[in-house]
Amino acid sequence: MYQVNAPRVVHETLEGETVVIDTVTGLYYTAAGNAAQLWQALAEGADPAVLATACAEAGCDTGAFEAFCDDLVASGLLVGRAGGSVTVALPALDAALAPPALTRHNDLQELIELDPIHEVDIAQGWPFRGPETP
Amino acid sequence: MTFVTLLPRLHRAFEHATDPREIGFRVAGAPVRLRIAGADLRLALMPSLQGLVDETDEAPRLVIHAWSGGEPCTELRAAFAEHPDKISMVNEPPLHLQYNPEGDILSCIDTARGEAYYHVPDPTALPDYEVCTPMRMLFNWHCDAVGALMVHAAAVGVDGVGALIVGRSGAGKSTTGLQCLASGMEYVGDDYVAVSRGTPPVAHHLYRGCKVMDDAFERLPGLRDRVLMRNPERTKSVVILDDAAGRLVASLRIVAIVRPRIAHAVTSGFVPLSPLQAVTEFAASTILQMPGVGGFMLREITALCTRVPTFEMTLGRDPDEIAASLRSKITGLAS
Repeated sequence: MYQVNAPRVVHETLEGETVVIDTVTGLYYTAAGNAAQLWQALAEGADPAVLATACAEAGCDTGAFEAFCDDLVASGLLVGRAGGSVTVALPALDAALAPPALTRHNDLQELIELDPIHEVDIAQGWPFRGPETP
Repeated sequence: MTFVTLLPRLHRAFEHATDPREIGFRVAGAPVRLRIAGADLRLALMPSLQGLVDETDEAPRLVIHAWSGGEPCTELRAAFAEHPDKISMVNEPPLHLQYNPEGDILSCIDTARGEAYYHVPDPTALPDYEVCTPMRMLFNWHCDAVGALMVHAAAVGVDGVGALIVGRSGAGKSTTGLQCLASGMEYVGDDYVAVSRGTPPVAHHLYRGCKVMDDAFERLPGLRDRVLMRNPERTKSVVILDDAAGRLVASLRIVAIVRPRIAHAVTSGFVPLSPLQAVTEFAASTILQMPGVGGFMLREITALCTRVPTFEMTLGRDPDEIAASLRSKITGLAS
């Protein structure tokens, strides 16, 4: 099972198209078609095995789906998640479309290279917000 | 030390600052008080903030304390000094803190209390982008608190109605915006504007500063006299606009979102974009330059792009034609 690597990664799917932004690397990704649907299902917590079955039933290449998942994890967009899967609406996949993949855009990476971010882990100590004082 | 003890400490440090002045602002439609100490700091920040000045009796939604010199919190700077090449930040709403080692800029805001602090040791050492668009982090969270979004976009228009011009740097956003200003159109901003979340969305002015590439001065020679500072490494200059530069307006009702594309075509053209096509570069360029806003900003920009028609504008060769074409598009959509 996977989950989106939040808050580092933010994403939105609208009218069958997806945008995913990695705020640490400065890369952003777009997807449509099967890739957008599979991303959305994975982001919602769907069981990858169930999605693989859906791919097979739609006549899509399950190997390509597994490679898609591996790539999302390797890119740091998804991370493993403990616990049970979430039941989500199965995507309506189209075998005629290209294998699922996110399109990677690096034209804004310069922004991160100029201003890298160190997000302070408030669990590690200062600065953190202490108990309210009267 | 905690946020709870930090804010009073910063407040006490500000009270010891010399030569404080109070200036009323209106930011994203809401009253703000700037308490700013020191002539050097005013000299660095006020040119770009001049368009926000609005002396009103309304109770401010935010009071910003800005000062320079001294060291209000040595432990804090020591903690962040461990990451000398990175912007350090803490986001724990309603509290937000950011430390930028470039310029040693410490910004801290409590949106629930309407209280903010901004400290720099040496105003003359501020980076050009901070002089151009000061206090971005504080304005961003203030905008969020008053129902607006601070976005990376230009805004221009005609008769109170306008378009947001969005996209990554270098795509023609600033050049298009400034060309529209030079052609007599109304102008809200070039780099960052505040957009209300309501319907219809309204773009509000934030900064008079704009970043101009060296080659743009050939097309816009009137801006040469307004250069405040130059960044030779990036061949960009900070230009401060004034009323003589054109029709600077406080706000525009937004009827279109336009993503320019340099095409060197005979005439400019408009092609409808899907909302998400418009969102992509718009949201990515905003989020990557505004640490900590990712989730809500992407959601809100997506919502904005579903409420307003979105277009790709293929830019023609003639700058005057570009401005005329955008003017015509806005006028058509407004009627």
